[in-house]
Amino acid sequence: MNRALATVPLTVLVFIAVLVLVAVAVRNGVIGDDALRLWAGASTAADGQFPIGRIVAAYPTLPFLSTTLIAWFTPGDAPAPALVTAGLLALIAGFCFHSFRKAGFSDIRAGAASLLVAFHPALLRAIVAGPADMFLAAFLLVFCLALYDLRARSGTSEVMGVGLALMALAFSHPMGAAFAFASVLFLAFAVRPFLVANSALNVVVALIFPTLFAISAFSYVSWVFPGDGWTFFAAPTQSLSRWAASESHLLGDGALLSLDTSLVMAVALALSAPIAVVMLVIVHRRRPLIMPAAVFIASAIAAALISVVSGFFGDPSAIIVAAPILAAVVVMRVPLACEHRVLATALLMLGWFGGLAGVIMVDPLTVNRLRTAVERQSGERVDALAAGGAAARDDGVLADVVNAPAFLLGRGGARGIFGPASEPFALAMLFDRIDTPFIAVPDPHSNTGAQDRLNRAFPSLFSAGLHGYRVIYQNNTWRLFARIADISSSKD
Amino acid sequence: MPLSPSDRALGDLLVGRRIITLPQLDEAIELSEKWNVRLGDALLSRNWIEPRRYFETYAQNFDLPFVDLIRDPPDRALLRAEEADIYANRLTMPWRRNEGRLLIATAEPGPETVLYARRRWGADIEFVVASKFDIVFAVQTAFAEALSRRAVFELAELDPKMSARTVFTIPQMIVAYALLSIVLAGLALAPIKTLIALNIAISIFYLGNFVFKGILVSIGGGRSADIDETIAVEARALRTEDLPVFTVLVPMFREAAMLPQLAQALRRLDYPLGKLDIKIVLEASDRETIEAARSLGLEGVFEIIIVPPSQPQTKPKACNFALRFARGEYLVVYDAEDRPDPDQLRKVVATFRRSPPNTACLQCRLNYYNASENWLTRMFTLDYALWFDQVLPGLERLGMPIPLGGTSNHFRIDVLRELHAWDPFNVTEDADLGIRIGQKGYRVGVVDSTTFEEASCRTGQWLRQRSRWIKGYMQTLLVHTRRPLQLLRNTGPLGFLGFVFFIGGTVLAGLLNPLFWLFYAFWLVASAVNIDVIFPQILLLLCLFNLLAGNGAFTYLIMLAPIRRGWLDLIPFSFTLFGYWVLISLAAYKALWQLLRNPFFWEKTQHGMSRHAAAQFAETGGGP
Repeated sequence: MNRALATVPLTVLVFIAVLVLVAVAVRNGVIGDDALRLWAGASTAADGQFPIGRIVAAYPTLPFLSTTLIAWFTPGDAPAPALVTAGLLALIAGFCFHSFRKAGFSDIRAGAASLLVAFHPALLRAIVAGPADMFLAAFLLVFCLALYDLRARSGTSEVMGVGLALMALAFSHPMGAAFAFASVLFLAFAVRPFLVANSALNVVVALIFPTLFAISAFSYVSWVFPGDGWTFFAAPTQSLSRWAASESHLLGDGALLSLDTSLVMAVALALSAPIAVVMLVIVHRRRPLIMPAAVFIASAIAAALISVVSGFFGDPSAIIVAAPILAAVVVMRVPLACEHRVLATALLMLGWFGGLAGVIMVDPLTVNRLRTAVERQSGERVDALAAGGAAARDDGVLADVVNAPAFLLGRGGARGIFGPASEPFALAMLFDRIDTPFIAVPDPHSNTGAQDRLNRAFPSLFSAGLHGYRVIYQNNTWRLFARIADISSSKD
Repeated sequence: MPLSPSDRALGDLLVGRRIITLPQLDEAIELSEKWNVRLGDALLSRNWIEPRRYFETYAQNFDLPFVDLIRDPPDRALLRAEEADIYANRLTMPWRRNEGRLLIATAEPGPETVLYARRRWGADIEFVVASKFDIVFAVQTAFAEALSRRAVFELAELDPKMSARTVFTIPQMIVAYALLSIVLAGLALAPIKTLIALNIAISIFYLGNFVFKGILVSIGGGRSADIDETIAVEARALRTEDLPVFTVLVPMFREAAMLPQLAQALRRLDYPLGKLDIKIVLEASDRETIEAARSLGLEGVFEIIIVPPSQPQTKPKACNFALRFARGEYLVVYDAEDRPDPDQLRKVVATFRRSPPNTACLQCRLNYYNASENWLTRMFTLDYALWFDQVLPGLERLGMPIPLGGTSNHFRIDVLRELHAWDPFNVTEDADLGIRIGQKGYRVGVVDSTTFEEASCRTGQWLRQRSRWIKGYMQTLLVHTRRPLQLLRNTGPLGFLGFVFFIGGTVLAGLLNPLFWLFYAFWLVASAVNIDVIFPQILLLLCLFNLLAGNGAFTYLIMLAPIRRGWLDLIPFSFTLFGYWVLISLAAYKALWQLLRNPFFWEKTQHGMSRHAAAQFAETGGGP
């Protein structure tokens, strides 16, 4: 069978499996906060409720733009972020399958190895974490391959490959940006020695120029079109502190947290990608095979450290996705792995189990959410999803969906929602008067409700309702009100 | 191949008369056998014998009279202008009549010439021997006017649509007039909408331009090194005796000082000198260079071709004139200051042999040996590195027409003649010829071999050179868009697109950039008060994207360009690209002005101005 065609069944299988997994994760409230925000933002943008400037100045740019575009192109309430995530992982799996076969693996072994990579716990974590994490995985793959190419040839297209991959990483995920910054320290080691000997600094300049220029350009666009832009880099301190609070600290808090993070990340990477450790130890004398992987690993660990030290890039757990990516690239590029296919497959399997431990170590928040879901405990997010589901057919729902993106997700889309960017919402805030057919509001005593703009403007809305409205749905956290006139007219 | 009996006898005669020594004869025999050339070619290539002396002895060897065609020129009544090419190629021509028999002057007496002459002029003939230089000179003198006229007008008369002789055709003027009228009417009736429409068109053009060049560089940079290495190995493995005769044209004008270095560079070529047909092409009015060339005492493989005065006085006209005297299977044009890689001709032969049969030309890479002289030479080097090392291989891989660079383009001489060679009215005749090759169903390839040139190191000189190039691109654009559908059919959609963005893009970007810089400056200063109306938000976004991504992309492409050669010290200079663009825009406006006022004027680039050249002049005793 044609090599390209042979990848189709596996790619389709992975695509469908990811869609199912995302559906299950959504239903059980396992989806990460960032994914929810992205989902809600993209859905709102696709519905035309965002000015164009805010769309182009949104961050993380690539996941946001691609999700918005998919949401715009797909009919009805298609789950755009799930489609993006599934599409990216399917591509990664298809590429792995193709490359493994090219490296001499049989179809069955290549398929098994690809599935072990694609459904590695770190990538499963990325699935529930949303498109940004999957973009991070995809561009880490591109970057790692480009590093091997750079070391092999160091020609124009190889330098370009690394430079553009770094730029894409920086605009895929905050941790991708951290990774790009961190890698600057090590890039000189990835280039062929004769070029470095010539002028190491200038080579590094050529490698990081696209990233630096794109960041400057993005800043400028954010200034021309005021949008969310860099606000993303202010928000991550929250997620970092949540992550720091939930992580078990081996060495202590404060400054030692960064060292602790590096250590944890290094151990997690080693556990999650034992094939990289084993193969690289065996070929340790062959610098062209060692250096790219070493630069990649060092950048990942340094990115986690930078994230904690600076507080700009959010929680560093996303970088664990580097482990299965590195494992896959080692199988593709280290000849020893291609020659010992049984060993390679066994090590990938070992890496799968190691990955479970790794994810538990670096991402306790997701693990907690999973536990909650498994134990079928109710939570604010599940309530928001249910409330959104209840309002799915209602048109003209006033709700602070920026604060509660899960409501929007449960509803399936932004069409018919009057969110904070809409005129009715702004009028309600200005004149303390609501005139929309429906109102959705969370309990002000809940975490979500405390931040809700409607609750702040109308403190008694949740408990006492509003004249002319009555409750048509409620759960532990949310109440949905409908204008009585509308109910009557619908009955007529 | 073993030496022929007549050459053995000639060798003995030369030694017997003490014209050459025995060791010289032995070496000449070895060379002629190795190169598969006549003994005379080997001897002349070593400069061991004066050409006149050699041909005198050659005549005696065949027991034929020797004639001096400069002192005793041929009878004009016996010569026919349409046969001038044949006389020059076969080095055989009618000389005079003597007692009813036709005397044929030849520089190559032998059975083949006898057979040819009998077929052409009948059996009632006798032979005399003349020096090959005298025959070439006699042909030039006898047909100066006819050959000169042909050099100027052949393309214009036989394929007028492909000639830049007419700058603007009537349909082009009608279309331009109609477009201008539409724009003016639009500005009168709906000024804002018209300006927005213009803005959109230009923005889309900009977007396409930098995306296209980015793709080209990415594809060109990915050219497989394996192919280049294979060619290099095949070039080394070529048997010397199998190498074809290679014509080298070196058009020069007022560059007497460059001659010693040029001769040295050509001697360094790893190609049997006996198989080189080197023509130094000089303008008749350039007495200084002609005298210098004659006084240098160059080897017999160097021929001087004197181009009679006529207008336009351009390099392509000189090359067309010299082409009539070319005897090679392949032909290359070098400039006086060129330093080709020694193995270049071998690589070209090897590449031609493995290329598709419709390959008409191979372009070698060009770069500069004085890159580090000043900011301008550094930027020029970056520009060339991007063009020749990245973009041209990209065009080749995509099968697009390639505008040839100024020198080091190697042609199959039969195709070059079929296409009526260079357009003397086009001031970037090579770029035009490259596109014409594509239009006529042939292809241009790229060879991984570099010719180093001297970069213009003074701003005024650089502006003159660049304005000529841009003017030539304007001419090329006008010529090949006369029949846009035919261009589309001949080059395919991708080739058409490539032509528009590559030739059109270079011209338009130079002209439009200053306007957009002014717009942008005004927008910043005036805080977008009055200009926002022609930049609706989506268009503003596109323009911003073009501004940011375009500048970023071009800076990055220029930054990457020197990596292939390991010239990493040039990388920081890519940040000053804007200054270089300003110069390009100045040159573009000068070019536009000249296109309207003096379209065929050739801005001569003065060579030998660099520090590097000065050092060489000091060594060789020359100087500009």
